[in-house]
Amino acid sequence: MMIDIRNVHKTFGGFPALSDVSLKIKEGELVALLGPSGSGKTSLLRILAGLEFPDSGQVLFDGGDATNVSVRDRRVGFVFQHYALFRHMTVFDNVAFGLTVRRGPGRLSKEEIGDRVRHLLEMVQLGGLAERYPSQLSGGQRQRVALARALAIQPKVLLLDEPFGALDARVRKELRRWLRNLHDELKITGVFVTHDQEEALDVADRVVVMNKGRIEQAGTPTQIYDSPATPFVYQFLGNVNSLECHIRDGVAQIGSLTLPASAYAGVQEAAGLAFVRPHDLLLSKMGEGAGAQAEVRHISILGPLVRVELLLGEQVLEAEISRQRHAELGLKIGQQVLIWPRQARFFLRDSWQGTSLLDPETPIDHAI
Amino acid sequence: MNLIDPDLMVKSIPFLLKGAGYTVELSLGGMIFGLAFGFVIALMRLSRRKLLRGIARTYVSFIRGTPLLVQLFVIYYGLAQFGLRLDPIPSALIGLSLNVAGYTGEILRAAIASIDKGQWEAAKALGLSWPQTMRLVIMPQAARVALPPLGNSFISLVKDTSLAATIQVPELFRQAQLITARTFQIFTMYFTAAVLYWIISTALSWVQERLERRASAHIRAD
Repeated sequence: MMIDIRNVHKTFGGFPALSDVSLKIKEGELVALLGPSGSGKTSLLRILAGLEFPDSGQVLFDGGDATNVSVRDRRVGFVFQHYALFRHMTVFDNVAFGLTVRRGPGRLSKEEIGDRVRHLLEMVQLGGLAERYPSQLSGGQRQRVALARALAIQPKVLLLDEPFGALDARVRKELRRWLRNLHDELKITGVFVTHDQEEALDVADRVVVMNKGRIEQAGTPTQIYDSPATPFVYQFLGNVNSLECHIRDGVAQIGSLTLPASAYAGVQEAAGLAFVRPHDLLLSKMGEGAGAQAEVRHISILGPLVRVELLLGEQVLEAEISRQRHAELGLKIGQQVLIWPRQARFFLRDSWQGTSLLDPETPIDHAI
Repeated sequence: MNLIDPDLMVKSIPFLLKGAGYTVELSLGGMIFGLAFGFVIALMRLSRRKLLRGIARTYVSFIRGTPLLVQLFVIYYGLAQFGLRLDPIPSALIGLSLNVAGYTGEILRAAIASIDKGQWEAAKALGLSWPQTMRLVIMPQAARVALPPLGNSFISLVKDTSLAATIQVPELFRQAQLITARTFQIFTMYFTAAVLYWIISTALSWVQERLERRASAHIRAD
């Protein structure tokens, strides 16, 4: 199903939860709503479900106005953060429930319901647990029951609220992969809420980054990660160095480091922020490359990577290099090295319009 | 003179049992009507309408804040003054039901409110109407929460039915009083009545325990 959200506003007790949010979701797309708590992502999901209603704005399902349609009549599959399984019913009855209570023309026979439930339980790999009660299941199993229950009514869209939030890291990763496969198989339009950027980038076709009730950026995981539209997106997705800089006539000055910022060629003199990912920061020995001089302050070995904390002027920044590169450089605390950002992005303090930089002259080969 | 007169005890049993019959009837009737009305009170307390909430809260406060004995007198003797003459048994049944409703209303309200909001939303998302959700999802779970305090209410009710003796209901305690008046075996009669109350309450507690155990078989804290 195609979803069109138009200029949705929502306040809770005077506090704006959503401010002028518009978003189009394509048929069969799996979209992640990503943001910190209080960013409005859950409010938006609940408005899509019909569990909340916007103060103004519209929600269209396949072009038809669904703004004020109750969740009862919306045919959405909703998976709750804490599963909300019916504790007094078996797994089978939980999954069958949406079908057994149905009255009127859409009603299925007992056999049809049984077949569908058994099929769903096979799909979520819980075939042997049909007669168990929710209290007898692990967190991951409960989550899959919740998913099967939501899918049983053959919803037009599947909505998931922090689907893996309450699970431990290993189960989380497993279910993530599994949700992705399930989506590829069923081709159902899906929206899930998460505050975990790795989860969003890993599972979704498209990621919508939200902050303070607004959409900061919507794009594919690659777009979001490689070209963040705003400083918020930069900081929220992955580790990043944010450095004070001055921009003048298309050149950015970060301490002693001078970088081209061609998009700001017209800017006379402005304060800005430069964002550099730790793995985009290249290190070389003094006299062996380009860049600015920085001091090694700390070195920590993180499995295959080495994180180097550096001091550039008065600003602290982090670089991530490979173990091999670390060995070649023979880094020691207090040592002077040259640093050069393979990629950096600048935002003016006043207007967050960015530019991306890739300098062909920089030595790139020794990156991770 | 013996403390207990076994002869009289045995001879009085048929009369006392007849009284015990009324005691059980009043208890069951009071509980059934009291629960039904208590459910209405609970729904009013949980209502979105302020007026309904206010009415229910005032009612509960009034019932809990006044003695049952006085409530029974108002219904039996008080209403008669305005020509509404009710027989003793209907008066007692009405009085006990209204009283029990005040207590079960609070118990049911708390039990329904203890069910997570997610259960309502999950049911709604599956297409259930409000009555369906109440009947199939909320009440089966709320019942487990409510059962222990409802059981206590019921045991209290069994004992409270003895107050109906004061409005001429020939229940267990009243029968004991009548026999005492004729035989002057005060201790024997009241002690025998006490033992019968004890047997009735114990039997009912046992039933309540079985019900609780069955109801909570699959519910574990999680």
